[in-house]
Amino acid sequence: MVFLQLYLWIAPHVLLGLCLLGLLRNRRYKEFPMFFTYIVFEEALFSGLVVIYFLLLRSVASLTAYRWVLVIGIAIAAILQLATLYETANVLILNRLYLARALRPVLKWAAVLLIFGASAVSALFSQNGMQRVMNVFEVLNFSSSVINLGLLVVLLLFTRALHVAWKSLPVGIVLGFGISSSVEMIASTLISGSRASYINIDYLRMAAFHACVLVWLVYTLRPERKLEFVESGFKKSDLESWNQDLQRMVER
Amino acid sequence: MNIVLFVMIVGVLALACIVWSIRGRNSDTRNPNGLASQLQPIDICAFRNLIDDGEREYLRNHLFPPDFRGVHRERMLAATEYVWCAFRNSGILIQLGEASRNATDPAVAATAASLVENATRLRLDAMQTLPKIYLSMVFPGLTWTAQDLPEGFDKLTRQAVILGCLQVPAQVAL
Repeated sequence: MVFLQLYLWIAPHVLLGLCLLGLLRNRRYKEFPMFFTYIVFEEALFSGLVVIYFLLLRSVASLTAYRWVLVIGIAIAAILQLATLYETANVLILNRLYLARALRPVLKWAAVLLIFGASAVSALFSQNGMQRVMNVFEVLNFSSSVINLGLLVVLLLFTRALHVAWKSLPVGIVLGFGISSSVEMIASTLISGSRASYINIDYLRMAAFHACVLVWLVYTLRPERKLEFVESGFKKSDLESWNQDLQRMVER
Repeated sequence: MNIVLFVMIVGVLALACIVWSIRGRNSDTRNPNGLASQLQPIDICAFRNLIDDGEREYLRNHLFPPDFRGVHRERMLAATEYVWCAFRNSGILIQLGEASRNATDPAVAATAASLVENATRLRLDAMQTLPKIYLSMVFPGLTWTAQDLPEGFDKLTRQAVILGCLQVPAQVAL
């Protein structure tokens, strides 16, 4: 069990490091600077927590200090996650003026509603007599997960309804955040309902983050896929029949 | 207890929704060669007539209220068919335009970008118009306007034809 715990704690951050190298190598950090910053921050937070953990083992630091660093780190990570989602939406609607005008208010109102919803549900969940710092941690985790997940769903449904083409990396970012946020949301709910032990739920969280990082790594290293028929080109007969169809459409 | 279960179900559904959207995105663009043949013709004049405010007022003034409601419902039902058709066609044109956005010929790429922008706009307009039409079927007195829709589709199809014309010489040259 100790091995599994250490593996789930360390392995995702090793993979995140590879993800960082991948972004640097294919220069996609320029396209997604916020995502890059978020990964750098996660790595820095992990390093800081490892140092505090070892100080804790030598009784130099306290558990409360470790937890407060974790809580503050999660708060900053939540802001960076939101910034990454905004960046992903921005990349999608770049060069699409009309879409930008339509999507911005949808995302804005969705964010407002989600913040209210998350606040209300968090208030319900935070009455279980947990330690203050852990309470703040759970509320933060839950609220950021709800907001992330809601914005992801709105963004995906909106772009799917409008047939907006997605590049590979934004899909990976969204899928990764989707896995992580949904499991975080469920985990926070389970803790508040005291359905399972905290340790088991922590395993679930770490496993979800591991899966999320794996998805990011695959999509970071995967070459960008172009639409197949651009590569092969239209056949002349296809284009002629397309033109005929279109001419038929404009007939009056 | 109930809220815990509810939040858990919402979490699972949201993840399923994300996976479904991404899977759909991947399969949408796999068979584009048959896309153009899926375009359906739209009689823009007939559609314009169906949503014309003047026509509606004329019918309202010359028919008994129960007759008008029946006729209006039939006309709006027919109008929804046109809007659904425009919705589907604009989706196809977005995919065709997206495929040509990366073309080496700048003229093709520019036309494709413009086509995608307009097709997106039309699709969004169609999405907003459909609930209004359905609402109008229930409440015939409700005034709504979709005058931009036929105009938009008209403009869009012209752009698609231009894009097709631009691509043919490029393919022949290859």
